[in-house]
Amino acid sequence: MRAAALALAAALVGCARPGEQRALDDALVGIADDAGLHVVITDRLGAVRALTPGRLELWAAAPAIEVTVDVATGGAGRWLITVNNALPDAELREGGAPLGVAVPAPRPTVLVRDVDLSPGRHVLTIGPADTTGPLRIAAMADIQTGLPTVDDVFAAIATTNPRFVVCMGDLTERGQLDEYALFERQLATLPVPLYTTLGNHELWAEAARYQGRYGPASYQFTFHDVAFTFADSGDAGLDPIVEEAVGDLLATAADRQSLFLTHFPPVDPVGIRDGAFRSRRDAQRLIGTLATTGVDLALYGHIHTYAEFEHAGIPAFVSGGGGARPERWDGIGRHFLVIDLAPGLPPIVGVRRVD
Amino acid sequence: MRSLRPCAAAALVAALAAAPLARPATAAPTIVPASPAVPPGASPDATPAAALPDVAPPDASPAALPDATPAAPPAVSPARRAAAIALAAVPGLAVPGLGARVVGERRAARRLLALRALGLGAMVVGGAPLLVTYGSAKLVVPGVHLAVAGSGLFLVGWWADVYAAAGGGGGPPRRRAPLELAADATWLDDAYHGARDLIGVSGRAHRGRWTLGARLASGHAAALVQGRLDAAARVWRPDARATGSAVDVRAAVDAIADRDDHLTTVTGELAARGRLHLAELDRALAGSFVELDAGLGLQVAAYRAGDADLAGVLIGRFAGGVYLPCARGEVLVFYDHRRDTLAGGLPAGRAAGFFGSVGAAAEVAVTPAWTATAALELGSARLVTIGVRRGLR
Repeated sequence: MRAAALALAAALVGCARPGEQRALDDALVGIADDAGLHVVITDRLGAVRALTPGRLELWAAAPAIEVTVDVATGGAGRWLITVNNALPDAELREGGAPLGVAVPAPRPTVLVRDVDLSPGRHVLTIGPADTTGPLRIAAMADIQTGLPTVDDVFAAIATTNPRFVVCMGDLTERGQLDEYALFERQLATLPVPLYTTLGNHELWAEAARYQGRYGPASYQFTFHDVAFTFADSGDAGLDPIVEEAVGDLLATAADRQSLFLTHFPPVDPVGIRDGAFRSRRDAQRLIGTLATTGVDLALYGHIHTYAEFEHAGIPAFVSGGGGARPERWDGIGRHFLVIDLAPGLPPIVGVRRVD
Repeated sequence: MRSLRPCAAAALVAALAAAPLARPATAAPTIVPASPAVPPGASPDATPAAALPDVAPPDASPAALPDATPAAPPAVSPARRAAAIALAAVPGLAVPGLGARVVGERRAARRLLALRALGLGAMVVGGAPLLVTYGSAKLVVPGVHLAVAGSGLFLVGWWADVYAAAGGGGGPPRRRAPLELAADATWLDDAYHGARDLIGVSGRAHRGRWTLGARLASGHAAALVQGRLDAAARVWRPDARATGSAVDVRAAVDAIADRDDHLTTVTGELAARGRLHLAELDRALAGSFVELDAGLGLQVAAYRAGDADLAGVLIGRFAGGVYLPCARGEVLVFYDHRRDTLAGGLPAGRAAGFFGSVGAAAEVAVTPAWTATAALELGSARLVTIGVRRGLR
């Protein structure tokens, strides 16, 4: 019995940082080397989905991304560059000038260009022309078993004309390949891109499936002078690597409007339920960081309900209405948030029911 | 400091093994005459500690409890006992009382069946609605309390079957001194800060049904300071010095200031704690106990910037343990559903964010006045605490 107790203790100690490897793997996302090309997505804001002779396929994790392509002599020539999850009005540019010939794409969020790449370094940008002004986005989380009908949610979101959608994780129920495939088929209903982090349900299978498709789980992008910082809390907490990196990212955004997004609410608005971080003290340390770095709005999922609350005076929302089995008796069901952001004004958040 | 007697050595072995002590098949139960000094309302079988004349008398000798049977336990061969332990440990998880039944303790087996059925019922009644409603906020308080308490009865009932199959071996509960002063050292390790340490001092006074306690701990160059005040009233078997079956209602204020995290929390708690010496179920279970906590708390968190937050805390805990021979103390293992403590909750894989911490605690009297204490808690962080306690009259 004592041996069993020691084994149990060892096992528990051994998994004290379940998110560590995922945090390390995040740093390797967005890099590929093959077919005479070396591709690096700046700040890991995306994933390289395919790199084969003549074909480069990316997934954008931000409205505007920069990709550095080093072309070896053997890699020079015609390339078909496909960027998934792009803004409909995004353009591929090099040195500020449009690059390549447009090729018909299957949906508005896919950008395809036929490009002639010469040997040497090419710094490409994929993004829209607009960089300032008011911004409307939608936010959602927790699709899970609702995947077969999440097109309803996407269609409802489309009617609100957001620039893009942010998602706080749990795209799938079990992280299975067919679930990811279905999720992307359902995205066809959505005329704008969706930027997300992972949830605990993506961790039912290897996290690499997520990172290989959608990029890092923790990252930050800035659009219209609003910083969007996503953090991987899939294990009901932030790994110290993530916590430190997120703290640094949030600090860089302290002088602009700043949104923080992660799957688990650090502290459940219904405290006694504790559908939150596995350590409340870790959660409170994070909330302290959000407060000191001037975060304007915090968005969470995981709990399949809608809740509006504050922590450390920061407006916070739980929106877990993407279609997963809902919390009963909360009177909300499937829903999403519509968020209007304007320079110098606090975010205005509304909730829209789908059913 | 006195040298250890053989009985004390056995107690230390039991504490280290944290497992039921096998009793020789032919051993007769120790029958101790009832103490005339038992306070009103206490267990009627409180006895003097024959092995430790300087120690306050144990409060509930198992052999003399109301439903204890004076007859010797059935003779069991070593092979049968080994089989009983194995059966209790593995299929016994699903078949309540299997081990006790194999060693001929049929009454204990029936009582354990009832205990575990009660636990399973509470788990289902509390947990099923939470599953069906996907954690409805309206059901959290009764649901989680029932689920935690039910899990405690179910799991401790399982462990008690292994204990009975092994022949028991625990001793009677110990009586605490009226005034206790303690010092301890805690090693705290979490993923974010690494290792930190705390040195703590505490005191506890018992009078009648009342207990008052205070603790102050500080460490890591005073960057981490913890203070706690608690008071308890024993509402069943109202002798606060007893460690046998009882129910306490307790209130506490716990404050932690962590300069590393720029975080200060103050938590008010109101909870009930019940302990059942399983000798009250059957003689074969004498020396083992189950303990349940249920309550609520309210926590204020203050950060370096921004407004302070107020959040609820659900207090739910269960423990199972054994009293050490000769009223030397006790060893227990526990599950604590709270995740707001220094330990936090277990990184439990797919279930992360649902579970609290697990741990073990022991207190062993090394002399009549001095007690060694140790505790281990595993959650997001790992805590190891060792200490000494001095009992004063």
